[in-house]
Amino acid sequence: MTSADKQEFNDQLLIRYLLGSLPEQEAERLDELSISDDAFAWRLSAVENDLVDSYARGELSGDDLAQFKKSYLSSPKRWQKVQFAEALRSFEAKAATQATQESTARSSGPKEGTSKDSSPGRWFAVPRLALQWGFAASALGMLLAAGYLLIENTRLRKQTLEAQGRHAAFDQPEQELQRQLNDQRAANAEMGKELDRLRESQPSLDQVKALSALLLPPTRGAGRLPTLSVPQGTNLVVLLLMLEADDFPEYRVSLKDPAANQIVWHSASLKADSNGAEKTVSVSFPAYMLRQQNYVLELSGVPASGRAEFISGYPVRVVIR
Amino acid sequence: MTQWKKDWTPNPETFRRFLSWLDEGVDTGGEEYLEMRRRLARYFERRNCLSPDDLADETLNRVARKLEEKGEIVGASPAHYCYIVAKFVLLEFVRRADGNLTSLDENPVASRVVAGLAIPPQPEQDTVARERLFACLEQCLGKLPPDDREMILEYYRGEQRAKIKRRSELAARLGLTPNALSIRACRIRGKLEICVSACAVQT
Repeated sequence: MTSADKQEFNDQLLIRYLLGSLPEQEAERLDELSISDDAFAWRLSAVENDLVDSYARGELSGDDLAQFKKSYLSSPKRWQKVQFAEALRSFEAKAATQATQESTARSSGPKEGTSKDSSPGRWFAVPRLALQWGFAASALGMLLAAGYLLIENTRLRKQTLEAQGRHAAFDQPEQELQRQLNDQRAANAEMGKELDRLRESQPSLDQVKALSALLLPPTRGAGRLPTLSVPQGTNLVVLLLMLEADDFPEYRVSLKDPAANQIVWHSASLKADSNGAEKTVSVSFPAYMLRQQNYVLELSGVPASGRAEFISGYPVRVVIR
Repeated sequence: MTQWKKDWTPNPETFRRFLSWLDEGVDTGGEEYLEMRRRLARYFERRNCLSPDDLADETLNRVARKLEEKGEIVGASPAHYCYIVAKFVLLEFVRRADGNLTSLDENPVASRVVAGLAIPPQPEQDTVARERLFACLEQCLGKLPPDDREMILEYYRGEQRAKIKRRSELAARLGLTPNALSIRACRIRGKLEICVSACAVQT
């Protein structure tokens, strides 16, 4: 692969690759480059960081946003990247707020001895070099005999900047609140649509046709054909995931489409059931979500405090009869 | 979990030779190994594998073993050879994902079924976790050299559209090409992510 070939990989293409939207053949080509080509690997990392930051800032929309939620967020490690990006955004927002507050405070009375400040705002300082050049320019101007006018001009400019700073101090929290409000509205609307869809698809209890099966831990029964035959008209699928050890107070299960790299369903917190030495986690979900293909049920343990930990994947092949 | 060829592990001399082979004559002090492991793990992750780190280790283990057996590997660069082996590891992983399903009739436990409640996907982060992550980020930023800290905060600051111009100015100020700045930012961010992740687990 020559460097000229690499030019064809624009950011949008790399985003589609990261979101799992590229055709297989093209994705394989980029797979190879992502490991064997230093420049490409770093560029991919850079694009991925910016993509995750864009999501954390609410800048993604349309297909990119939908695909990001469906595909990218299906991996625990990628979740961590998103959480990091959100923390970075919060840090930046807090720093900006503090910077404007400090600017306001300085304008009402300068204070000395702030070197021990530990707020995030201290890490967003104006480059010192820029200030030095500014002072040098002022001095030169005075030597050229326009001193008085220049000083007056500088004073007026400073007043203008201070006024702009005070204005920004009032504007920033308002913008942040507005952004949060918009995010919340969008989330509510999405949740409402999902609830409506679930309500519409919910059959009455006397009509429910359920199918159930037991999935063994992945280390057992290797080589056996994993087939779940789902008759037409089945409403509910109930699966029991057998545990190797019951180490967590609660569990969660995700139904993943490995071909599309998408999580198609996610359980609430579940407790393990026991029957003697056997421990299982039981999940149920609407049968309409299943297609004739392979799936993986990803089991995560939820500790009493802290984040869920991935435990194991239970692959299953679905056949619609 | 998946059973791999765990019966072989590189001895110190084999591992040293493997690192040297990966470095291609430039001693990186293990940096190249770590970078290759990161790339492989990301590859397996994008390919929807359940334990990307394990598969990356398995790949590197196999390459080290092949190098030990053959004495040298010719015909492909180390990175390209790692990719070839990774493809085989991926294929094996996909094949091994078969099995593991039995009928309800075969197990008495299945007579009791307690169905979980289906809900749509939702973010798992709560306020406490967010605050903890934020505290960890502050702590990890504090550990960075001041130049790196200022650089990364400036590099990733602001909205996407405004970033392009700011990054270009930052690169000029630091005397770097935009590409070199991008790589440097990625490296620092990678370290920061690892630090924050480790901190969040500990606290």
